[in-house]
Amino acid sequence: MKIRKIFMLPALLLAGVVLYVSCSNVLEPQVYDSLTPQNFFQSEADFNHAVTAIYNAFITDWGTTDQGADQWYCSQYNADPKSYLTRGEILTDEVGTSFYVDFTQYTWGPASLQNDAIYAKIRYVARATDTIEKIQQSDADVPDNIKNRYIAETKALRGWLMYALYDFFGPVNVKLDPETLYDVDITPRLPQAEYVAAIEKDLIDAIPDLEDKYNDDGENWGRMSKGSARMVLLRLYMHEKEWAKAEAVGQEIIQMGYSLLPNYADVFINEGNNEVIYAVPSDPSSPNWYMMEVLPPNFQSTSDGSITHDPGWYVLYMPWEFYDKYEAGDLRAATTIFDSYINTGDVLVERGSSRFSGAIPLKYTVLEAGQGQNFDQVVFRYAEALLSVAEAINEQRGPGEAEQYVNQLRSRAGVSDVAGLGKDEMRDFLLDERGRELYLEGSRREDLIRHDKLIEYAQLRGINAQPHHVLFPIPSDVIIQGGGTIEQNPGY
Amino acid sequence: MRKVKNYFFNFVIGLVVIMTIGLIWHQPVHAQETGKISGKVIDAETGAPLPGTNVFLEGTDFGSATDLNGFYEIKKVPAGDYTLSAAFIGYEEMTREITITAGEELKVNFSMKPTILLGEEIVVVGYATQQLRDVTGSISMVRSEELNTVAATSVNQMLKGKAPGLIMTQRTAQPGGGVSVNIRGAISPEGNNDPLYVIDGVPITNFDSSVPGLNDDQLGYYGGIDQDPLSYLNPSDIESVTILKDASSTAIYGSAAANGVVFINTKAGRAGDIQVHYRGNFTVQTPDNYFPMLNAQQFMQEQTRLSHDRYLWENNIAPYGTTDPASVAAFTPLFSDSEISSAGVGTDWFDQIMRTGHVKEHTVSISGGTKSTRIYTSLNYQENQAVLKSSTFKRYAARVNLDQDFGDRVHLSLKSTVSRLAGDNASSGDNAGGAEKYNMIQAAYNYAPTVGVTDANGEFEYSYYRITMNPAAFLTITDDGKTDHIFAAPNLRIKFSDRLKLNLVGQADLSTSSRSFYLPTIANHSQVIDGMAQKGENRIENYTGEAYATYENNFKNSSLTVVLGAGYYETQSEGSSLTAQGFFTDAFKYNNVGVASNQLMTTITSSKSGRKKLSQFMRINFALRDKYLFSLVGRRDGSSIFSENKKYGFFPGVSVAWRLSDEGFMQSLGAISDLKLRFGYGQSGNESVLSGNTLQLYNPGYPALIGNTEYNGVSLSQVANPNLTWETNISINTGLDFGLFDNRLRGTVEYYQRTAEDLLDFNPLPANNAVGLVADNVGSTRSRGIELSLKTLNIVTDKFLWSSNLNFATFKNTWVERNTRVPLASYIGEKDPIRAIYGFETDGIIKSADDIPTHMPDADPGNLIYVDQNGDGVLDIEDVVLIGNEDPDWSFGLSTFISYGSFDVNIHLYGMLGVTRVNNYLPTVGSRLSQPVSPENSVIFARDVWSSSNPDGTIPGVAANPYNGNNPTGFNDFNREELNFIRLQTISLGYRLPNSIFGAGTGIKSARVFVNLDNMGVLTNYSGYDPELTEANPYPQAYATTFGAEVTF
Repeated sequence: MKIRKIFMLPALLLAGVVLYVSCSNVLEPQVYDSLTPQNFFQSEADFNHAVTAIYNAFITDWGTTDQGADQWYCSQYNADPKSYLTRGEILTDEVGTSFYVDFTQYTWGPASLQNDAIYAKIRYVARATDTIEKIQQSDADVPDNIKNRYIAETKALRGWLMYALYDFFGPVNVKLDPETLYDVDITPRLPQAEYVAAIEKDLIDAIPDLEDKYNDDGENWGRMSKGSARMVLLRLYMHEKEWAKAEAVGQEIIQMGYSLLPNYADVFINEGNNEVIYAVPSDPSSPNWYMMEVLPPNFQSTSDGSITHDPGWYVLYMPWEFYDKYEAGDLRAATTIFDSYINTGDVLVERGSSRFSGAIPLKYTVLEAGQGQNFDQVVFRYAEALLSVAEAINEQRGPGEAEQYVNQLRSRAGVSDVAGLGKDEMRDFLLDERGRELYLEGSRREDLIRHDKLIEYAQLRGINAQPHHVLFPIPSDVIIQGGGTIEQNPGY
Repeated sequence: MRKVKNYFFNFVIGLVVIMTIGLIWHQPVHAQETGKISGKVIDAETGAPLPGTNVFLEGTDFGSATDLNGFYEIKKVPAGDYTLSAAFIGYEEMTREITITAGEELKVNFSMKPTILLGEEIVVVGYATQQLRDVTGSISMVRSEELNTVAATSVNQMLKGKAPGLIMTQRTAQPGGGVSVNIRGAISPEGNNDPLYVIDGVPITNFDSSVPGLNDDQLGYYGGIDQDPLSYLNPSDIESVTILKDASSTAIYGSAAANGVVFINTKAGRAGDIQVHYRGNFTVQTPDNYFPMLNAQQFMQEQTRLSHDRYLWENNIAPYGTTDPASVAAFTPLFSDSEISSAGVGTDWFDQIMRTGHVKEHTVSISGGTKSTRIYTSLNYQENQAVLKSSTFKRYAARVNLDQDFGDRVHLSLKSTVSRLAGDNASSGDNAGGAEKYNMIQAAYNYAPTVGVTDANGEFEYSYYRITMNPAAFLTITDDGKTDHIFAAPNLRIKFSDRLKLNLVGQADLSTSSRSFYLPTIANHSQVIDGMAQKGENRIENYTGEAYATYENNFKNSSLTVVLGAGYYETQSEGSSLTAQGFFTDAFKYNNVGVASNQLMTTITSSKSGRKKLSQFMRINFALRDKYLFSLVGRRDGSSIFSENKKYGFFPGVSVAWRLSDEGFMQSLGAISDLKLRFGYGQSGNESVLSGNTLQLYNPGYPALIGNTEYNGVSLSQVANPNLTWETNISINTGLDFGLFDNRLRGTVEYYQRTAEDLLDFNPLPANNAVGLVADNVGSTRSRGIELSLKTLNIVTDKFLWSSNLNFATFKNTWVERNTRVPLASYIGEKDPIRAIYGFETDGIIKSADDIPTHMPDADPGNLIYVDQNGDGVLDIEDVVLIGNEDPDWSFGLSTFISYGSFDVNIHLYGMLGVTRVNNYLPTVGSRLSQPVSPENSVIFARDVWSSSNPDGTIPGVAANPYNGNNPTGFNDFNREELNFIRLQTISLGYRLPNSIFGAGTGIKSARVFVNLDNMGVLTNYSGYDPELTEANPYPQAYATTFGAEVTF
């Protein structure tokens, strides 16, 4: 009987072969674990997942392997110095590091390691374009206001991505027309005015359909809101020195009901508080590594013992020269930046002792055990809006009217009001004050560039920085691929 | 470098000369008066003819091998008395005393008793077998006795250097580790270059290893297992490996055969008494010298020296700049002088993770049967405690090969094996992540030797850079892998008449792997503090159904074979995995993941893919007068992975051969016993699954946190290409097979050209597109090469036998046509080698400010000097040049076998010339060892790093080279070396015990003891670790010494 069965198997197989040859749909592609245009963008949940993929560019975790390009990219708000958040900081007087010497020493070039990681976010712009179009075209049964909100979120994110690329590389050849999404022809970089207008348009288009804010909506905290879209717009106008527009959008933000918390340190440990306009949420599934980047390698506790944690990697520190820009008694330094600590050998390490290269810019003063932390990474907050409005006013009408905005921050920090400065002195003062107030929030580089100080400050540190270093080079593989179509930034 | 090449050539030429002298020496003096001996050799049990039997006159060089029908013929034998012997491996040798007189034609038949069985001179060519003498395509065959199966885990590892044009690159030395195999040059730059494996007659559609990877998103390190898919086969079961190299022969496998075909046939049972064969062996593996690290004192000294230079550089103090040292904070070393002087050697981390390994292996095979039922069955157990602690590998394999005749017309053959590979994995190899993802090897490399294994509390100590896990802590990880493999291939042959047969072939090939991983809390992993368990399971299934009819007819002057068939092939793979974190106890390991408390860190995944193929195929072999041979093959394939417009492909192959030695005019040339000229042309396809389908796809993998929920964002991941189809290989092959001196010297010379068209490539979409790549057919590449193989019987006497196999191959892989949509960088030549390496050429290092070249004004002392190729005073993309080729210029192998009386010696060596590789012994001190507060260790060569206090240093110093950022490839010729190597792979010594020591009643028929020395040494000019291991941070190599015995009952 057994033999008969064995005998049957090949016979059945032959029958199978003959049968299969005759039915042609055998060779249909077999897709089991991917979505296709036929079964995606069919519901609100689909929209949400498509839009989430754009938010992915901004997370605090290390990064993402990009399936479409088969490459790993760091995310914008990871605390490692290769990211958008911190790469800008380590070029400045505000933050030091003994890693990434290509960047700290201004020796980077078009082919430098990590130069392409942020540039590659240009793909997210194209994906946002795809997502906007697909949601618009979808006939899913989703109310218009919800649909429009997802489109607006995507537009706001696209505007923000374009701004970040612009900040680092100047105008680039983003894909905003869904018709061109699959084109293999390479188009030149957009003219600056057109590029800036495209960012502005995305944000202005998005604002009406966005929610005001999510500070009281824990479920949706982290989504783009009117507040955060306006903050991106404010940064764009500041970058362009469009002072009147900057003041106007800044005033709109001021009217939105945000307020300063009484204590500076509380801003960073109370998630969703009324001063924070946008923060990138994090939790163990998407941890925030900021703390490990700033804690010394033999850290045990702060000198008063109030904060204890395992040692960190000591990648980022605040150089003493910058630390000294805080006046004595400035609560921002006193409560969130540490100039001494107790090491794992129970020894107090103080400024001046060996290899304590700078103060610990802890900022987030509640620490949990373990390395990846849960706290939100603060990106935009009311204090920045106040400082920007003050600067815009000073540029247009001089310091008098501007003082009140900055003095709100001064008084909270426990330092004396600013008064009676001239316009130029006020400008310099505001730059310093931004550094003190917004340290390690990711805007120092663009602030210094706006004030034409980035290169000057670097040269003062003995670095061979040159004027062209205000922009990073377009990555060399992009230039090569462009075959002459894509212009390199001057100086590279 | 030159010297080694010369040395090598002299060596080889010397060998060839010695062999030739041996051949000539033993040429008999032809007497005027000769006779002829002929006859037939059959199997005593079955009566079947025994092709390939050696029949020879002892003490002379006269001899011949039997043909397909068992007939032999020895011509021109001088008159006299002789002992005529017939020998065939697997059969008992027979002798006859004969006398031959001038002009006599003596008939002597032999009826041989089998010991174990083996086929020879018969080669498989795809849905047919052929006598080697009739083969028209390019074929290499390796028989089981040429494979050193002792203590080897995969037949791929044993094939290194065994056949010309077969390039085997061992990626890793981990037990059962993977080997990259390509035949005649890997010319598909993006597609797969692996050959098609046909096991026991059935093509394997999906030949990947099913071992699941680890989820390393959160977990620190990379923990890959690189398992050779062939490890499931017990090498001792293999009867022969046949390699089809050119498309005129591979076209019968059509769309899957562009990279050649490797047939692996396992042994079959033979009628007769039950034969029991046992082999047991024990191997000691001694690790090779691995990375030579700085010891504690050297580490402190070098860190102090280099971090001081770094301080000078970062503060622009002389020699790096003009800053007044008094104006900046003074340098404070990490280690004091007294700490350095009392440091000692500290911890040798590689010592902590390495050990002497050993392998135990037992193999039993039983063969026998009746005339109608024959069986071969075997059991194999192999256990390897490998040289990385915690790394083990076990194989349990069982095989039943059954042949059953149902009367005269119906024959069933079943080849089946079941095996389990089990092992504990130690992490090694390449690593895409940063220091937070170091594996055990990387941790041992980077961990400071000043740190101890555990602190006073018994906890693993951290190094200065705390992100890395303690190397010894890796030993607390459990990483169990298990692969169960089931292979069954029934083949039913129905003989309708002597001329017409039908074969129905089925096959199920199922491989299921599971992986269970636990990182305990006691490991003190810096990022996973509360334990992590992972479980993963993958399953790969291959199903095949084939039916083919064979028509054979012999006409008066010719013979014809026609095969027509059809096949259906399906493969599916599916997998799932889970990761859990937050264990309050290490007691459960991965066995009770439900207790994990950290719900947010729990991940689960699953995946599935599949493809199907339908085929029709044909073969026509025609032989005219046994001298003019023609072969025509073809296959039409349809595949589910290609687009609607391009689902079907047709692949033809044609070859012809002319047996010159059978022509009358050749008969007078006594020295030439065999001469055949071959020519072939064919096409075959490469169906590498670049993507699995050609549709537009959206995929998850872009997570982001909104509120408290992490959504797995979905984005465009693939762009549709409605025209994607096979890559086509077009090959032309011409070869000359020759046998000299009564086939004492046999050889083949071949020339080929392989051209790949419609290359499967990822067409890079512009950098601003949503998706970076789209699979497309673009461009063309070519490989041209020459191969030579020689098989010699150098000395044959009744007591002394010396034979050798020598093979050489050279090829050049070049581009023919580039993707026109991708602008070529200026440094890339249109027709450059496929695996060309480009970069800056270097000219030493800047040792003082005086050395700073004018074209590198911003350079610092200690920087490499890059050559300004075009002399324009600027270092940029225009100065990038070709600096090497990863493909070898030459590859070769030499095996030689000597037996004297009861002793036998086997030596095998192989090598490659002209390969460019990275020197992995070059320290990169700029970012690691010179770190002021969190230094990492480096190799001892860090002492040769240039610094202001070591002005004669030869390795670049701590200052970042400002011109690196202008080098788009990132490579330079300082850290790449063109290397040559010869590896003495095996020396084996055996002794056959005299039968007299066993009593007659023991049942022992023969017994042999042996010593095997593997991986004895490498002769190379390479200054890095191992010239062969292509991975970064490779699993360490080991010398292996094996003792063993085999007994036949």
